[in-house]
Amino acid sequence: MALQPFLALGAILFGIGLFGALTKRNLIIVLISIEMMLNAANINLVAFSHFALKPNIDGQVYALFNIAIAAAEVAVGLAILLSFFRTRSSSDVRDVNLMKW
Amino acid sequence: MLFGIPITGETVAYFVLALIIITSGVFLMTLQSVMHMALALGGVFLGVAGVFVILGADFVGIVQVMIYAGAITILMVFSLMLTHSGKSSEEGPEVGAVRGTVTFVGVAVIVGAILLVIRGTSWPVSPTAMQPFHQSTVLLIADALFHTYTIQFELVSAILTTALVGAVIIARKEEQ
Amino acid sequence: MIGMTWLVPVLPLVAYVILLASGRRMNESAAAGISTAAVFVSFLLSIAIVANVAAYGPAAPTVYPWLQFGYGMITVGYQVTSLNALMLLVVSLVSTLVLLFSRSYMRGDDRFSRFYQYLNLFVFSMLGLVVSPNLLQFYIFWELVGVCSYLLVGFWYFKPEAAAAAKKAFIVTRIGDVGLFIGIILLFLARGTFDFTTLFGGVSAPVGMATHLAAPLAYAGSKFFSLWYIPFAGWHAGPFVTLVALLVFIGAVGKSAQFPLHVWLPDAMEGPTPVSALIHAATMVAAGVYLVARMFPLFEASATASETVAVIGGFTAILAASIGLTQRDIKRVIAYSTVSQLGYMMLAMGVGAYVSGMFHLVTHAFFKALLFLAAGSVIHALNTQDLFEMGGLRKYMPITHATFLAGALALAGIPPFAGFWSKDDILTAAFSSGHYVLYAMGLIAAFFTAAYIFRVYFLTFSGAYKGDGHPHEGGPAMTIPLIVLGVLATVGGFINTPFDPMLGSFLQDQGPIGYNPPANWALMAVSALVGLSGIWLAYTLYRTSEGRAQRFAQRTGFLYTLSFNKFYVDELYNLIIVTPVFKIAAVLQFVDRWIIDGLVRLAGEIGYTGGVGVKYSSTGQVQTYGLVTVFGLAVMVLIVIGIGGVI
Repeated sequence: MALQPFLALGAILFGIGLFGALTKRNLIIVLISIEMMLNAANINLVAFSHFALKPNIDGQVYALFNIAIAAAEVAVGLAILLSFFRTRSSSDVRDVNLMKW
Repeated sequence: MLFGIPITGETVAYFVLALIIITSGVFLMTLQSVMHMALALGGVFLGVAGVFVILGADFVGIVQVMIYAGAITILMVFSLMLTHSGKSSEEGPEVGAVRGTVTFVGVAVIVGAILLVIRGTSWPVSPTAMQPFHQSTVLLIADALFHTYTIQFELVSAILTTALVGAVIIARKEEQ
Repeated sequence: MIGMTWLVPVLPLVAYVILLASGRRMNESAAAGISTAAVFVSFLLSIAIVANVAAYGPAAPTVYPWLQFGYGMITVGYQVTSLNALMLLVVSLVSTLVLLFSRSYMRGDDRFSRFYQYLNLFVFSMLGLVVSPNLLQFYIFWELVGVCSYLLVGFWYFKPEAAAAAKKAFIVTRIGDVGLFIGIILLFLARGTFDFTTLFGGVSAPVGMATHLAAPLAYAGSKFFSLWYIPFAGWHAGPFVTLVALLVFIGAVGKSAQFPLHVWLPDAMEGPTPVSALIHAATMVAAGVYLVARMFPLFEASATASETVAVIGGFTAILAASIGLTQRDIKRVIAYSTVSQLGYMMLAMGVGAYVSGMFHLVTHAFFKALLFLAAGSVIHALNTQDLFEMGGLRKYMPITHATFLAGALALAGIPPFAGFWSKDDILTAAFSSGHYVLYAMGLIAAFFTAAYIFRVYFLTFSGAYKGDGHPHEGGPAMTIPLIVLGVLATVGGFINTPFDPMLGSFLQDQGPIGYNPPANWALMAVSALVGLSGIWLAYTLYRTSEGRAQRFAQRTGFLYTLSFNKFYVDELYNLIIVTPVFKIAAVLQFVDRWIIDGLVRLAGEIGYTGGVGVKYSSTGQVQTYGLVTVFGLAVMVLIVIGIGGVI
């Protein structure tokens, strides 16, 4: 196996996640897309850990940290979303417009 | 050899997993029902776990399955149910045509650029590319976590605690 | 004692500060008491100073360095010469009496303390002006005096006429001040100093003065003006001295209300009568005459300037006297009288009769202040200023009547009252120095003077009272100053009679100054006769049958109209100067409001409109922001790829 296919996979997954984050109307789907982007980053990290010039475990450790942080972010994000949903009765991205002029 | 690529077990596994991941991702983008989208998400996560295992990061792969495919997917489903997103009460198109096209073009350009860069860079190849680790990764990770990255470990645990408490407080119903 | 000269101006200043600090908390008696006491002490000090100067002669100026720049040094301080000491005495005496009078006159006024503050400030400025050792300090106090005049004339600022009169006074005198300042600067350029003693030091003869001043002036002038390419560089010495002298005289014309800048003084009668008595009779307007006296060597050095001074003085004397014949307001008559008498003083200075001019200044201060205060007493009692609403006050206000009569006789030049000696001195000087036309003008003006002041006397104090008030004498605060000034107007002339010219020897203790005409008994008799005939004319017109004055006015027709309308000088100025200035101002206002301010507002509007246009881009939609970011990133990536990398 070479390195490039894994990096390419990560890039494509990142692109799909980016597209979803910018386009989807449901807030939760946006969060999901962000999770996909984080996963793509994880793939990159582990790939580099495997194919490095001097193989080391740091990439995987960083990937673990990434997973932990992503989990924390999801928790808080969903909490905010629930609170927002209670106030506005909508989970549409277009209703999150308090910073409108 | 097929298309100049040696056919080994890993190659086949890689392609299958890549297919699963990308298909699930595309389904995520295009399916109409959000519940289906959540299921596609699960597929993406499982595929990524498989990629980790191929890359010899078995511990990380198991963690991926447990946390992502397990906890986070269920969390998303719960949220979708709590916010009544199960009912398709979406009025209007999911995404405007103009906006979708523009976004697609932009993203495509970026991804294309990244792919070009990946292709164009000469990545140094390690002699021990296939079997980098001689010990179990769990041991290596444990060693790294508690010796080299102790502070980062403690910080992450602090973040997790804060996020836990914060999420509970934010999502709490206000007392009347 | 000379070392305490600085106290003389400073005491009123202290009173001013005290009154200013206590504001409305101080009651009327305290305010008046403090002020009057301060100026009275200044008066006592002035007596001591005069005695000192009479005994020991003038002292060297006491100066303190203030500003040093390059080769020049500006100093402040004080100087006592015989001229200064005399002025100190006169100013402090009249000020004390006016301050005392105001206690009663301004009683009950809402801003009583403020009035006394302004008066104190004025006395301080005037006394400071008098003791100034150099031209710059003199000019500073000159301006201060102008400011105080503005404040005091416009004291009842809520009356639009008063506010307008204050503005007019300040602006018209300002025209004079510009000339004075240019003259001061030219003198400084020529001599490198502002000091009076250094400017004229060591050179007393007129010819010597001319070369003393003129050569360096011409040199400095040619150097200075050549910088600005003004073609004065080729002038000789003589014209320069004349130029400087005329510029200085312009300042005096403004301050002393000579023609053509006389228009502010009659209007300044809008101020309270004590103000008129103090400022516009005895002190501030005398500052112009004092300036000419102080700069006398300069005027001696230029025959043209002296002639100009004399001619303007003489012309003003007769012009103002002829206007005073027909005015209805009692204060205006006395105001035109002041202008006329100042003309006499300028006439004296112009023909070189330094002592005569100063003598008339002193006597005029006494009897004019007296006339104003007496008029103030009448106005206070009757609440009107119109002559034709008065009459028969002899019975009701005996003290005012007696003192006014004394002042009127002094003004008319009847012996042995004070005005006779001083006015006659001036007329004799004019005649003896060959200025026959000016003598004639002065004589006719004397006739008019006697006529108009006794017109006022007969209309006010004789006959029957036609009004409906109840006239009464004011309190002692009013009558004491009247009595004091009445005595001075009666006997004040004896300080410089031809039999015993005390004032002359006092002023000329360092040597003769100017032209001292010998006594001419024939001319004295002529003056007295002219005065008496003026009184006779007034008596005939106003004391005999009714309506005689009106018939006389109709018979003189055109002349009467000219005189009653002040020879239309104000209207002329309005036409030539005021209206064009306002039109230019309107144009400039348009430019300022629409073009300059328009540009500023345009900048603001651009910002605002641009903002309004741009604000619609902040939709609050994060996805839109993200999209824009991604798109921008894509563009940048393309560019980087296009230009082959950024390393």
